[in-house]
Amino acid sequence: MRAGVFISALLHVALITLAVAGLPFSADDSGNDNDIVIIPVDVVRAEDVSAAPKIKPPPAPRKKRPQRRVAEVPDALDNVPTFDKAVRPRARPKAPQRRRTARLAPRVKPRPPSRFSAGKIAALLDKREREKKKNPPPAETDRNAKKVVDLDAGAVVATVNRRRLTASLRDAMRAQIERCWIVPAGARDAGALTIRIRIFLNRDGSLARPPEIIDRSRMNKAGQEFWRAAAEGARRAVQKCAPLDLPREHFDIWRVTELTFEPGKMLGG
Amino acid sequence: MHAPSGRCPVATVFRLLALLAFVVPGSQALAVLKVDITRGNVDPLPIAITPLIGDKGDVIADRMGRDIAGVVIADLERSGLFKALDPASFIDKAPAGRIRPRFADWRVINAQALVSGRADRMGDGRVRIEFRLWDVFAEQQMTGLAYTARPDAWRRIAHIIADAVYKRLTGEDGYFDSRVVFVAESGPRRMRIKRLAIMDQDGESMRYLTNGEHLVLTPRFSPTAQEVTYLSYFGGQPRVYLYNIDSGKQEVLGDFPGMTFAPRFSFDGNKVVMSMARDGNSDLYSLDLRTRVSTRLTTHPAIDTSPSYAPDGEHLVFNSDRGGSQQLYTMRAGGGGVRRISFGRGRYATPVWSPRGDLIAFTKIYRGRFHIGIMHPDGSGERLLTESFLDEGPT
Repeated sequence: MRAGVFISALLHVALITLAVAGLPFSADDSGNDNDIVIIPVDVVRAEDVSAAPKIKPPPAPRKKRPQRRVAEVPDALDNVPTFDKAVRPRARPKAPQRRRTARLAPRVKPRPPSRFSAGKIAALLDKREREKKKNPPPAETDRNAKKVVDLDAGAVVATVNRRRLTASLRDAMRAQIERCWIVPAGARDAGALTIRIRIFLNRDGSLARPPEIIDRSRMNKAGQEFWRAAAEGARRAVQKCAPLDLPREHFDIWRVTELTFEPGKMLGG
Repeated sequence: MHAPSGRCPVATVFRLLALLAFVVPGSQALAVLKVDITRGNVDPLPIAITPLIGDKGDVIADRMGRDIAGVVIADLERSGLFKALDPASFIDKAPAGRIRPRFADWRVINAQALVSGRADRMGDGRVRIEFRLWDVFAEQQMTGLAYTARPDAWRRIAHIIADAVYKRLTGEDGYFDSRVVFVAESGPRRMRIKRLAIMDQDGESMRYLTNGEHLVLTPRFSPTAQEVTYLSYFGGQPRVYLYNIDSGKQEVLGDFPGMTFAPRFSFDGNKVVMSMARDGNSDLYSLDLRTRVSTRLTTHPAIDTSPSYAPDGEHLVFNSDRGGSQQLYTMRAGGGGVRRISFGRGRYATPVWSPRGDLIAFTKIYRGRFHIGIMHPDGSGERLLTESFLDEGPT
């Protein structure tokens, strides 16, 4: 019996430690494109809202109330332009106290769904209310901020924003590296050559480590001289182009990038 | 809450979920941005080639080192794939003196590769040449070789170095340590003298192989031996001969009753394919150099000439007018399987199969103008590369 109590106490302590120290740390991860970002509260034109099906955000982790009780927080909805009157009534559920609490939570970037039992049970109970709590204004504005009229469409717009952002980052990176790459024009079967290189960048765009050529075993195989020469040329292109000029605020997105060099696309195979 | 068995179910559930909590935060997948790069520049690769240095004060070795570097630069630039940087721009003048070059100095002038080395005269009169090829950005040595030879072989060593650099940086075998055999014409217009001549691929070290007494045409180098096959009008009878460069000996190839011409070696150097004309009909014959047995390859009454083997030795391409006009055909090396591959307008002549096996070059005559073109061995992808009054005979 004593052993049982001891083990139980230990696990409780671990649980609480994880709740306090673990979650914020894991919340810092960049997540992937499907995670929903903070929703800015502004007005959007109807045509900007896509017709894509609405994506339900995963249930936000419910903190233990004692840890997350905060002092009076000014209602951020007060800062919304007044013509947004349609938003305010709907955004205010029955319990203002709980909404304030949840509004602080979005200060941190996308979180994975919590696995805590408390959160799981609460999530099963009241999904809809939680969605509404997520919709009030966030602390951070997206670079391509759009204005939201319909709160449920806010989730969709956020995903569209994120995809647009990723696409523009890809273009920026592509434009810079294309300037530095000397295509192996005379290689045999240049059309079939594909070289993939993984690069690890610092916040200022410089290389954190030497670029990694994926499929390194081909570098020393007999008969792969053309591929090796092309792979080294691609690696030199990256090393020549560093440091890359990319927006620091989205460092988490471009910190690790995989570049695929395909000379065949340019040389017509 | 406690069951009689002594285990609390809620606590068990609690424990399991808590264990899961340990597992989950660590298994986040790293988000990787994927970018496709499909365009770049088709530019020559900037490379820095420094003179090979000798012992301190050894002027002769220094001069040889400079000459060797000069030949390497000329070879690589002539290939069109490299651009040698101006030595005046070098910050680090003597990289071979250090264990490792100062790569930052070379990055600054935009060199992507660096060649440095030494030329040392040894006690027995020979020279020892060594070089290293460095990747300036990766800061690693890519290749390095050392040779010992007689001093007068320095040109050959320079070409070998250029071959090694070329192969390492492009993946393709270099062609710089090779020679060209050709027909040198001289003399006034009515008394042209044609002599067989040989020179390095950069034009140096030329010498004549025949004395010009008899007309010589279409020389071809053997890929494996120091031998040349060509057409000579020795004794007034046009015949295919084999010339051994080292010994200077010439011999008639095959005992054919008619005129033989347009000879070419197979890629393994064991066979010569040629055309023989008899009673107005030209057909293809192959001769095995080891056994001196000849085989007739075509029996068509049309003119069949200009044969060229494929690198694998299984096929050959030739020129025939069996279809009514001069066109290109491929066939099996042992005879049979004739297929027409040229279908454009105009006449096609002198086909040659590329050593890589992926293309056939030819001369096209259309509307009075000559073109050199290439196509795939099945006849597709025909492209004309040049146009002029007198371009012909790619090889």
